[in-house]
Formats: sequence, C-alpha cells, structure tokens
Amino acid sequence: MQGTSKKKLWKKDYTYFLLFTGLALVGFLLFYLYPIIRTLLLSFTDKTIFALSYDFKGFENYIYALTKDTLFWQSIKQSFIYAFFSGIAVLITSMVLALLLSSKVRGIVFFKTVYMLPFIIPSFAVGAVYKNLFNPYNGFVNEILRLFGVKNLPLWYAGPDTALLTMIIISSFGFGVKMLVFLAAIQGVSKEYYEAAMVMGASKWRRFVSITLPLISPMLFFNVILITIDGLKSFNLAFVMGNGDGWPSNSTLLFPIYMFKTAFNSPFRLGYASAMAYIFFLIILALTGIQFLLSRFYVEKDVS
Amino acid sequence: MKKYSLYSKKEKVNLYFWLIFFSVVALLPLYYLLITSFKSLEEATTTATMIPHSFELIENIKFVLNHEDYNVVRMFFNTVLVFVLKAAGTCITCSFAAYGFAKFRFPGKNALFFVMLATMMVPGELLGIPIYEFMVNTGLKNVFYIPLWVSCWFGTDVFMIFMFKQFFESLPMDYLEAARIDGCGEFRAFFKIVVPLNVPVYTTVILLYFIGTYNDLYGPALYVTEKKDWLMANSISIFENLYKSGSSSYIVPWNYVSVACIIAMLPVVLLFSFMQKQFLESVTGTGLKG
Repeated sequence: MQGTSKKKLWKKDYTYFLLFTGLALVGFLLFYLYPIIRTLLLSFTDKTIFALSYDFKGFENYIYALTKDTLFWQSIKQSFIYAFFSGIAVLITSMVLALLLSSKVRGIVFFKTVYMLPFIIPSFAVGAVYKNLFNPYNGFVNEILRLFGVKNLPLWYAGPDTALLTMIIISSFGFGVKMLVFLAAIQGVSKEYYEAAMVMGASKWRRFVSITLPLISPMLFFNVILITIDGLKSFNLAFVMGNGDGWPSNSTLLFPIYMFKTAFNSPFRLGYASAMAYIFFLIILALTGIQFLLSRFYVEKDVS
Repeated sequence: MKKYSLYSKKEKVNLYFWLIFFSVVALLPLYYLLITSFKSLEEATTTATMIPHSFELIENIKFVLNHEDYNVVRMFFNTVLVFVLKAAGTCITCSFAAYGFAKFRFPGKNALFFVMLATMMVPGELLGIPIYEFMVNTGLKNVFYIPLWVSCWFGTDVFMIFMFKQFFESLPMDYLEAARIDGCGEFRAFFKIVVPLNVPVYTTVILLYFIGTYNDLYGPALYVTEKKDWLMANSISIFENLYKSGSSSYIVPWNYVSVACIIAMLPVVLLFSFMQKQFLESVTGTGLKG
C-alpha cells in the first residue's frame, strides 16, 4: 500500500472514531468532568440551592465535617458497620448456598429457583415486606420468639439499638446474584482435581479446604471488597427503613442518606454536602486502591 | 456398569435437610407477605398468625385499587416510559461509543478509555449535586422525567460501553472488511452486521436496565414530586403512611401494604418466569465483572 493512501486511511479512521464516540465524549464532559469540578468548587463555599450569592470558605466545610459534625462521623461509622457486616453475611450465605447447590442430588434446579425468589421483591418493596415480618408488636419473628419464651422482645427496626442490626439481617437475604456467581466459580473448578483427591482418599471437608477454597479464594476476596464498596453506597433499604431520615434517632442514618438530606432537603446546603461527598469519595478511592493492590498480588501468585 | 451414588445415605439426608432449611428461610418473607394480604385490617394490625383467620383478599385488592392516590396503571406506564427512554438511549449511544473504541484507530484512545473507566469509581452522590443544581435552576426538574433519563442519551454508562466493547472486539474483522469491499458504509455495516450479531448483548442491557429502573428509589426520591408523575417505587408508601397523622405512632395497615407489594412484584415475576435463563445469565455475567 502507498504511503499517502495509508495516511488517508488513518484519517478516515480518526473521523469515524469521532463520529461513533463523539456523543459519549460530550456526555463524559457534561456528566462526569463538569460535576467533578463543580462539586469540588462548591465544597469550598457555603452555597445553598436558591441563594444567589455565596461566600468562599476555604477548607471550612471539610474541617467542620471532620472535627465538629458528630452526625457525619456517626453516619460514616454506621455505613462501615453496615457495609462490612452485611457484606460478610451475604458472602457467607451465598457461599453456603452455592456449595449446597453444587452437590449433585435430585431436584437441585428446584432449590436453585427457590433461592432466587427473594430476588423478585423490588428493592423499594423490600423494606415494607421485612418491616411486616419484623414488626415488634405483631410481627412474625417476635411471635416465634414469644413461643420460645423470650421475655424482652427486641424492637427490631423501631429500636435505636437494633435498627442497624435488623438492616444487616434483611440485607443478608440479598444472596441471589452472588450465589450464582459463586456457583459458577465452584463449577468452574476442574473435575480432575477432585478425582485425584478422591483417589488419594481425601475427605469431603478436606477437598473443600484444599481444593475448592484456594481456587476460588481470589474471587472470594475480590467480592468482599466489592460488596463492601457497594454497601457503603447503599441507599434504598436505609431510605425505606428509616423513613428517609435515619429514624429511629439517626440509628439507620447511613452516609448516602445523610448526604441526601443535607443536599436535597431544606435548607439545601449544597456546599457542605459537596465537601462530605469528596471525603466519601476519598474513602472509596482508598478502598479501591487496596483492592487493586491485593488483586495484583493474587494474580502474580496465580502465575507462579 | 454398576451405578453407584456419589453420596452416602447419611450425607444425602444432611444435604436435603440444609437445602430445605434454607428454602424455608428464603420463602418465609414471601409466604408471610402472601398471607398478610389475605388478612382483614383488624387481624393484620393486631395478631401475627401463620395461617390467616380472615380471608379478605378480594376486599383488600378492591380497597387498594380504589384508593385515589394509587393509580397503578399510570404509575406502571410512567415507570415503563422512564425505562424505555433509559434503555433505548443506553443501547444506542453506548454501543456506538463502544464500536468506535473497538474498531477505529485514534491517538490516545486506550488512555482515554482508561480515564473513562476510572471515573466509574466516583460515587453517584458526588456527581448528582451539580446535576440537581442544574435541573432546579433550569426548571427541568419536573419536566418529563428529564433528570432520570437524559444522561443515558449521552453514552454515560461506561460499564455498558465496556461490555459492548468486549463483544465488538471479538467480532471477526473479515465480516467488516468484506462489507467495506462491497462498498458498504461504516454506519450501514454497524446496523446490518454488528447489531444483528450481538442481539444477546442488547438483551442483557435491556434486562439490566429494567431491573435497575424498576428498583431505583434514589431517582424518584430526588426528582419525582408530583402525584401524576409517581412511579411504581412511590406506590408502597401510599399505604404505609395511610393512617399517619402528625408525629405520634400510627397503625400501618399491613394487609394493604402487602397487596401493594405483591402488585409491584408482578412485572418482575412475569419477566422472571418467561426469561429466567437470559435473566440469570445477564445478572451473573455482570456480577462476575463488577
């Protein structure tokens, strides 16, 4: 091919690249780059949404959030507790169910469908469904506890001490998708390993600990951090359980809810909410960094 | 050949015990939801019976459907409208962008894509503040759900671009070369060759967007205020707050709430029963990646 026509071809490629991706590049500027910069600028001001004038405050918002705002720390703390424990709970339930489903007995497809069923409750309805179940006065769970002779029946979502725990229990029913992911991973483990182990007379437990677990552990670990990051961002359940404002007495106030309240409820403190959003972003960034480093460590281990 | 069981009898009993145990746990919320919808208002608000003593399902359904705020047809079609606008926008603009990234040369294209992928880490809350500010200032906040779907028409779902890109890259170049030699334009080739060969990817995106839109509470909580604009996500709270008065404690009519929950579940149940395979494949496929 001649040099000139080759150059022409490249030029044509550039044009088509821009024609195909142009809209997405504009969208990137409008919906990612602009908000990132704008939020950063807002975070140094005391802007509220309808205010025409506002003052530049430097790092005041950040300092206030980190040193004085007890509600901010409470929401961060609760978000972490919720994300971590619900992450662990989901991980354990979905892992156990995946292991059960990986056994080869009759009717396993039926059980798989049954385990997927909680998934069909839309997440905006999950709160109502479980509030009914955990209702402290005439709910099913307390009725069972009463049958077993428990005297001080827990208030569940209505009590400040138990509300977060109730949310963690409810979220552990969200095992459906992860269960399928783990099941696929378990079934992806080559049969030859098991056959070799069986020839050598390894027990079921031994086979699980020595073969299944090491082979799927990178993915398992990956998922712990992914679930935790997801949990930090979770909004729907806490919004429904806490009637949108962390009821009772801020015990279900997760960070996204607090930020939502600050920015989008009267008096619409966009500036302060922006500062909180940036602190939150840095936390997520740090976690993602850890995940990235650890996943590299695992990849290297796999190769060697 | 002698047929032998993989498990001993004791192991089998054990296995079935746990399989059934977890089935009960998984089904309990759904069962309790179902029986609560049968109960009368009095029973639903006073006793926790495992088998309902009153059978007022028809009355409950009538009450719910006749409630003046509960315009379920309208709420459903509003939700469908938002879903269609979001899914169509994403399918068109994201697959376009992905095709550009997958098949054409451009200086710094890979770095650009990496930057776009990296911004996925930025939480939606952070991005949402200036967008909310913009929507309020321009008065677009309550116009035709614009805040909910407009970004989808600008290829902003980087994860979907990533997914489309993966599939487009595995597409053999021969097809496209052949089309080019035949004098087929790039856009024609895209619609005549690339799209038909990747129908399952589009199905996945549509399914994921249905789940996402239907379940979304953040968008409606932020942008949907007028009663006529309510989505399915707004439907439950009508009955939860039915007898709410002031700040004192109030009775929640669980029977009506349960009926509303079941009605809200129906579209998902239908979708799940007709498209279970695609549904599970889409969800696990993306679950693995992110």
